[in-house]
Amino acid sequence: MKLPGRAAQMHVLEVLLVATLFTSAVNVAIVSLPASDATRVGDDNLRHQGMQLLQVLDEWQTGAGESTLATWLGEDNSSALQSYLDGGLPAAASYRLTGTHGGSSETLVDRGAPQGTVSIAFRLVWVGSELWELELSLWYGPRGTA
Amino acid sequence: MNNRGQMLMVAGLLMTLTLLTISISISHSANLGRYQGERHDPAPLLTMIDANLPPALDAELVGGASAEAAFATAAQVFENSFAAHGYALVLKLDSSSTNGSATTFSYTILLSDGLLDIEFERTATV
Repeated sequence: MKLPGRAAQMHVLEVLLVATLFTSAVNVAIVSLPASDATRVGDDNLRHQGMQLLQVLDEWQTGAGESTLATWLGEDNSSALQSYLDGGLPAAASYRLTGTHGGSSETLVDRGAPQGTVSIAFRLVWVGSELWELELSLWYGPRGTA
Repeated sequence: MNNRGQMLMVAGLLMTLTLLTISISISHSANLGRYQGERHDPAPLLTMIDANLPPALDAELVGGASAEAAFATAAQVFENSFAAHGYALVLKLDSSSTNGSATTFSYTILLSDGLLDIEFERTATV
């Protein structure tokens, strides 16, 4: 079958139109729909905030030029640690801070039982004469009493 | 070539371009989604090493270890802790020298979080 010139041109235009519509629809869908792992964004942000909070506290020097984090750990000043973390972390997040040193582990600040996905920030800190490994477990949930 | 042949050729070309565009869009989106929202900030990790490795080295030296042994012991603690938290860390001693009571360590930090690989050279005197 031989199509007249005008009909062929129309077919080409139709195919072009369909192709453009199809591509646009797919692009719009990709931009608008959430990715399957979008919920991980909040958890990763929480871990990152925890890492930064511990870093800032370690770099924040006391009047004697020592790390504030190391000083508070050396003085067993859990209430100061709790105030700092309470203020620095999002209100919707709860946490637990544990420290391991000299083969023993202790809970420094306990703000409830972990629920859902738990993100863990960590930091190695030199306190006095030994290295402490701090682990800050973070999750979204209500804060319990200390 | 007749009109029908020309039309089929153009239609086929357009469909090929369409499929290419769609597949590239989808694979690009999938790659973005895989790492969506991830934070790759090495600053807390590097400051941790910079601030807390030298006192650990000093303690090992005070305990009577040689410079190489002191570095190996202290580096092992950091490497193990980083590995336990999902980071690959290698601390490589390039050279060490002792001048009186001061020991200078030159070392290389190789750090990877699975996506970001970094390498730094550091010098610490304890």
